[in-house]
Amino acid sequence: MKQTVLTIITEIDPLKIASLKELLAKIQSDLYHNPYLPFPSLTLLHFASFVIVQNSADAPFLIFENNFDGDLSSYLDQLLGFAENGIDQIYKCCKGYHQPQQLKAFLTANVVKPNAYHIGNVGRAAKDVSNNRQLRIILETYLDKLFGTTKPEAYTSNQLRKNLQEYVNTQVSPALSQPLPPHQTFAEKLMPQVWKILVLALAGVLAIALFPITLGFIYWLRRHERADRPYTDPASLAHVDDLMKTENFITQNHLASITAIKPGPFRLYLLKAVLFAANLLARTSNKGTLSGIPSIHFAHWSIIGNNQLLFLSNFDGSWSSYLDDFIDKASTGLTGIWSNTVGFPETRFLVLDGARDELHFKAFARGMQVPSLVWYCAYPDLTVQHIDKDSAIREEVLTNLSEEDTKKWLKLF
Amino acid sequence: MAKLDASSFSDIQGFVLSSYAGNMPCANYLLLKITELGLCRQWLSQLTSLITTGTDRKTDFSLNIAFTAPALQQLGLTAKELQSFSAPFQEGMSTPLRQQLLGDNGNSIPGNWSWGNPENPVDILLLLFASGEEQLAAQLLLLETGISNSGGVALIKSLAAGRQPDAEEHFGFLDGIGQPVIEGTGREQKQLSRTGHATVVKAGEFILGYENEMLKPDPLPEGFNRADFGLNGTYLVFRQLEQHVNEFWNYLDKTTRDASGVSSRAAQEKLGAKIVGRWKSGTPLTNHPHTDPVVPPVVNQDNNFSFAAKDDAGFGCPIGAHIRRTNPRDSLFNDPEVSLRTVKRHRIIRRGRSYGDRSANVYINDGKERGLHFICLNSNIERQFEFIQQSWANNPSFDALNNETDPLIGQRNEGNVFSIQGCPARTRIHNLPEFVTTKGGAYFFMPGIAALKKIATGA
Repeated sequence: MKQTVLTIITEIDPLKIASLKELLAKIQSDLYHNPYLPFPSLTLLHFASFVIVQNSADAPFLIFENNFDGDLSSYLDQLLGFAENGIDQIYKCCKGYHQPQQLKAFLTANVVKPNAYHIGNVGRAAKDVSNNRQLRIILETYLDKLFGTTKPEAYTSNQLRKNLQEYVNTQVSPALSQPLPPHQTFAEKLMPQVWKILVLALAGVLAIALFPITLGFIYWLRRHERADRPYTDPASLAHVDDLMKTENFITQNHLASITAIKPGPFRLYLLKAVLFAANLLARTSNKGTLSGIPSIHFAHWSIIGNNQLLFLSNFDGSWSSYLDDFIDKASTGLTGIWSNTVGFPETRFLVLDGARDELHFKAFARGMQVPSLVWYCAYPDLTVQHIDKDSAIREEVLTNLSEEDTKKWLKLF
Repeated sequence: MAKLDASSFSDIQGFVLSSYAGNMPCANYLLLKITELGLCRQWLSQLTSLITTGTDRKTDFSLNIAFTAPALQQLGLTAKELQSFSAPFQEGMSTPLRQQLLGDNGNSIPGNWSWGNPENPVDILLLLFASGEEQLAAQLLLLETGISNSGGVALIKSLAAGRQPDAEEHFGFLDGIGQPVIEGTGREQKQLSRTGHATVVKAGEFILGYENEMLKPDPLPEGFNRADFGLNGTYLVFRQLEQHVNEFWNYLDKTTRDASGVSSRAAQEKLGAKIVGRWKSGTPLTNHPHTDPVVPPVVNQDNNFSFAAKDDAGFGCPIGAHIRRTNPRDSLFNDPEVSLRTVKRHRIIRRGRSYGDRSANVYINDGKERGLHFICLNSNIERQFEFIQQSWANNPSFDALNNETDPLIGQRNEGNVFSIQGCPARTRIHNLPEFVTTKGGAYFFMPGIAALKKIATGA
């Protein structure tokens, strides 16, 4: 199943922003049972959020983040099927929307597709994620019972696996154990690789053929970088506390941030190019990691209004561990992206230094973060790695395995 | 940026560089409140000359001092200067945010604490160490007399610590083995000969004003109009952790009983070792997975091991064991090199000592409180102490485990388990009680000697 990552961005009627915030707060206060948005009924949905961006220059706007299975139309049908009234009430606070009959068209018209996105568990539908979890819990419980009466050492790996398989065949619903489709089709895997090779080859040829222009570009870039003024103040304690209040209630956390792109066409087009490259790399990463970070379910970047960079991320663990992962494993990539935005720590040659200045980078990241007014996750106790492990248990539960692979499979529990 | 070397030791409080455990086995901690500012300064000025520095080679007693944020505010730091300190230090350990982050729930809620919460705030911490009980009592009497005669400070609580080097903590396991070596202190060889291993960590991770592992300094606190007020200081985390020894051993007993209801001491000690990650003697399970080669009270301070090569699957030291969660070494991300680099940025220097009488019978609740005065030093409370607590010890998904927390010190969630990896498959133990309860705590700033003089004189 292919997943879709997008936002719906609409301008808020400034007169109704207070009532919109109130409505969103009501939804957030009871994510599972609120009368407006019955999230658990949306079986296609992985993660969703509502964020309001308000700065003095532009009108306030509402960002509705959606990470779901399948195409937009079927997802909107499901969403409106369960939550037409709630969605109607939300968008009544926005400009350009008038009546429920036009809701689907209105939402579709305001879709913003990301410039770059990452998916941690490619090809695993929300429903499969939940089924695989259930299968794992059933088998965990079975093992606990088994070992309650016999010591594990009494079994060989093959015997133990046979017992598990027999239990699955006789006691577990086939809906939880039947084979899953591969994460990606052959074409889905191949096409981005072909693209990547073509683009890299083309970029390489151009960079060499137009060597003087490349030099000129580097000179121009360094001129810009030397003139940049990074923020050096620590993020306000009250702002950080406000953000932290909503964090660490479930396994995952959410980060929404808006940064102003440095003025002028140079930075805008450079950012677009970097995001294009980042997206290409993300499409061809096959280990579920984003530049080596194993803990991101869905993340994406969108350039909005040609002057702001929106970043939305649904990640495992604490904010600090996420930012450390970023710094330790992906500082080149993220510096390449965010050094095009105002206030980012001092950077050289687009990708050097920058995020490696941990304290200023963290202060920058907190400073740019906006509160997630509503944030929903369909599987609040599963990390990307859990989903992978659960999926691996399911994929091989009824297949034939060698003894060595059986031992590996048993380690998944 | 300057590297730490011996020329700075005279400006660093002795406690930062040494636990004093070797020649000062006795200790007492005093928690004070400022009652009158002028008189408090007077008292502080007299005290300053008694504070042990990194170059004092004292053999009789040592005295060190640290302050909470409210204390520094009263003693003359401006609001703006206080903002240059670490955020958790500014806000304190007992706020609802910190409570959630540190996992101080259930019986550990700050409302139940005997000190460090809004009901029983503290300003100043004095740490007194002495070569023997008599020396300790004599110095304590002098200090307490000074305090009560000062008119400027009042004693809130006097916390006695147990005698060292009986370093076995109350559950019965050898503690305090692994300790990072501060670069520039020249202690590498000492650590190497004691534990067979030494991790040298940049001085800036523990002492303010120097390069940390990211080759940048952590924020240097400002004070008394000086940008380098924080130089040679550090943040001191103090948590009074009660240990429920009888609950621990009764749980081991109950959990290891066989079909006929019988448990053996050996089975219990093995399960305890799986929980800790070391045998009672200190021997690491990764090096000796099956039995403890050393019989306590003989100790084994072996720290020369790593997980990735030898114990990746956790068949020796379980993935969720206490010592693996609090120092995962090279076991994270399936990438030993990245793991080691990351872990180095989350180290602390542990300086705690146990308190309370040893249990005469570990299975019996004798109604007496005992535990650990957990003390650690770090330059960045969020990145170091709080990170270990939140992202490793109390993280239910640590290293892809499901609904587990640190089996020794963790808070408990409903349905919690602890997995013991093995062949052909893991076993799990269920519904672990909380073996540890937080009874008090605070974040302190331990200034350098020059900064201490500024605090005392108020200018």
